[in-house]
Amino acid sequence: MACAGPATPPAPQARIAQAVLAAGPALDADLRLVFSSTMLEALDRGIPLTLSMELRADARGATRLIELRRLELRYLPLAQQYQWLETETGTRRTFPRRTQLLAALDHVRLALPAPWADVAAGTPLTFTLNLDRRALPGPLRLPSLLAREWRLPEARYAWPHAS
Amino acid sequence: MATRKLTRLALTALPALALAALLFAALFLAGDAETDESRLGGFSPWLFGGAAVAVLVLVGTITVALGRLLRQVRARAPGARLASRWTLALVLLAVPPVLLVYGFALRFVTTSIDSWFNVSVAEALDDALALGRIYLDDQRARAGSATEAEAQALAGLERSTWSTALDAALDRRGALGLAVFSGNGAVLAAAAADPRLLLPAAPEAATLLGVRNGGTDVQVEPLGSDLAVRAVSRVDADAVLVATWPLPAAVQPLARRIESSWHDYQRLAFLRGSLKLTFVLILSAVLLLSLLFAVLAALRVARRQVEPVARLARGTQEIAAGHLGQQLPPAGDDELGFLTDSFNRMSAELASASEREQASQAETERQRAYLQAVLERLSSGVIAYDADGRLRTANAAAAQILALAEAQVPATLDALAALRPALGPLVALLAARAREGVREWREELRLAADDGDQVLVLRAATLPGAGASGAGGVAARYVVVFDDQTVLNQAQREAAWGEVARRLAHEVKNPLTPIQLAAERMEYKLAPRLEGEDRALLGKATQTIVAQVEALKAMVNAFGDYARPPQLRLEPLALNALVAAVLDLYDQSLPQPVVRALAPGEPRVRADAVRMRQLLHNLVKNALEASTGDPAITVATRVAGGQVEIEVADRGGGLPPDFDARWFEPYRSGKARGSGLGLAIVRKVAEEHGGSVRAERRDGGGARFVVTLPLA
Repeated sequence: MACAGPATPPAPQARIAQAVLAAGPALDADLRLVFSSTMLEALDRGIPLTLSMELRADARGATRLIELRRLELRYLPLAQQYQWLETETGTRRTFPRRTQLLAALDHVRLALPAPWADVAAGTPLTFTLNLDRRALPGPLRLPSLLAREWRLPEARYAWPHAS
Repeated sequence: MATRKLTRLALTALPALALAALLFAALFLAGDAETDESRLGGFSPWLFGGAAVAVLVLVGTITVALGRLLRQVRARAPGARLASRWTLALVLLAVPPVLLVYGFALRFVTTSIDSWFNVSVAEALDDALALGRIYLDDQRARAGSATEAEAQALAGLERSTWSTALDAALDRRGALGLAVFSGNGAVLAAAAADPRLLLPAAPEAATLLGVRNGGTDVQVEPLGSDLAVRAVSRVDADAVLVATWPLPAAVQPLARRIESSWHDYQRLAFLRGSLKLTFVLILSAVLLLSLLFAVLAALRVARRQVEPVARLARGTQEIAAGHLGQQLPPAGDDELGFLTDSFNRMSAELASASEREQASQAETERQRAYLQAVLERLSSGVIAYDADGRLRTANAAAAQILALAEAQVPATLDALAALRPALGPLVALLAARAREGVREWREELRLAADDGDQVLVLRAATLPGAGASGAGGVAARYVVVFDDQTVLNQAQREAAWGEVARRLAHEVKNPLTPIQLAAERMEYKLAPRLEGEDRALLGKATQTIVAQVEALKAMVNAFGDYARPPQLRLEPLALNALVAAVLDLYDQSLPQPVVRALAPGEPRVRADAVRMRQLLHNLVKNALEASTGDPAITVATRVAGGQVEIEVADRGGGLPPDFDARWFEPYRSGKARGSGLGLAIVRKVAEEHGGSVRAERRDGGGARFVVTLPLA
């Protein structure tokens, strides 16, 4: 009979399964995010989690495009709703259950400014995602640097733009 | 200079200021930690990185400083041990209060954080939230019913009239917004009383899925800063109605406060551990930096405080080592500064005194050298001695007169008497006069020697600066100046003999010829007139007179030779040839020839040939006259040390027991016959040629006379 030790909370994981620069223009990204139980507990206790996303087009000899977005996940206890808020665009989505919110994160669509419609085919694109620790409450910023359950690894996806 | 000072000040002050800024930032970070205000939150990694760098720099600096201090302590560098004690004392003074404050701060922070959480407050907040939810549930129910009713109403209308119906319902129901969406999320019809709902958002797919199955989804959602109820109800198979209902205005701030308070409390409860950890980390970093800074400050302060003392110690060592005139940099206006100024004045005065002493020593040395030069060139002997009999000074003439090699001059009078017993009377005289305390005295002293008595004339005095009996703790010192009167006496005697010789030659030699002629004339005139015994008597008397006159002439000639002034005709002479020529004259008349042992080669001397022949004749004749029994005579020449010696040896009766230098004076002869001038002439000729003569006893009997002449 195996003797189980103290359960180690699963470490948070982040992966970008796919990303496509779609018409619109917009970015369609399939994410695989696993938050630690600590992070989810923090969310349920009213601590917003902010995901920082960056899309970069590095074209040699062409204008370099960078788009920064922050996606704030927040729990509203009185309404008992989980809120998705894109702080730059003000896009807001609400979910009655956390699982719905997390499921919605599997596919992210970010509306992009017009210049992104002119990105040439073959342009190398990079999409990165990480947890914005600066948006965490003060007391959490330092422990989030040290605690394993707060170390959401940066996810990166690079691909050449197909027209 | 000013730029260097400013740079030094900046190098000293900037790290301290940077560290102070870091500490203040850490303290602000601690204050920031309990709030959501993000004034310094973004800088926390930089702050802790900076703190880590500061810790490393401080540890490195302290390690270097401690290593240097330990090396100085081991090397017994001036001030190192004092600096280590200062450092230890300062660290002991600084560390306990810091640790105490750290402990109290930790305790205060943890207890303060724990005190924030109160069970009744938590329950009250939960109750308020539950109450709010109940109220909202009621509002949701109302909104759901109203929405379902409107959806059913729309279901019975043509789609083209939905917009008109929605406008009417908006006014009738008091909704904020009504919109009908198709299955693919397109807006089929919409009416809004709130501008924020002019572009209504489509329901989530999950919501649509649930609503199509026959239900009504009602949720409370934020609308700007307010809350609103959003209900989704099925119109038909391809359309849903989304209605947004307002909450009463009086409820909105209450709802916001309840949600905000619950949020804050829950967040604090969740962050309790993180908050404590943050405070512990910040306080620990502050503690570590403070401790390290305190240690470093202790090292610096100790070094700065001890440096003047160390400089004083080093300066003292330098002065002890004879490096006078050391000047230390000013050490401020405190007691150490006063001490440093005093040291500098003392050092300068010592250097000045040393220079004066050196000048005095140099002057003394010059005087001593001058005195030494004078003493060394004096023909009189000079010795200085003290009451204890220690010889202080003895010049070369003193050593020469006392027949001592200069290196042989002993340290005391007693040692002098032991070295040369013949000097015993002199030592006894000096000691006696010292005991008697006579300040000045003059005496003539005769010392017995192998080659005759030595007459010394002594003049002595007590040296100034010391009492006659050593009063005042300073031993009395005396100086004695003496001359060898022996040579002077001999010269006087030789001059007297020379005068005698000249008078004899002048007063005696002149009447001798008339006496001889008168005697011979008397015999010539009277002998024919006498007969028998009278005639024989006359002849015998006449012969006696003539013989004695001849003898007197020979004696007078000898005196003439002795008294002849030294008008030499010096020329290079082959000595062996000269000796051989003289000896050849004797070979025919002697029973056995003179043994010749001449030096190899041909030593040459610069001499008057006539006088040298006279010298050799006198030596050979002296030997022949002394050789009463064994007639063996040996004549030898030999070269030694730039001089040549002529030795004439016999096997006669040898030298008389009282033979001394006086035997080389006129009329000193041990033989019955002879003028007594032979050896005197030998010595006179030898000295005329820069040489000397000495007489020695031969082993096995007999004597040898050795003439020493300088080689040409």
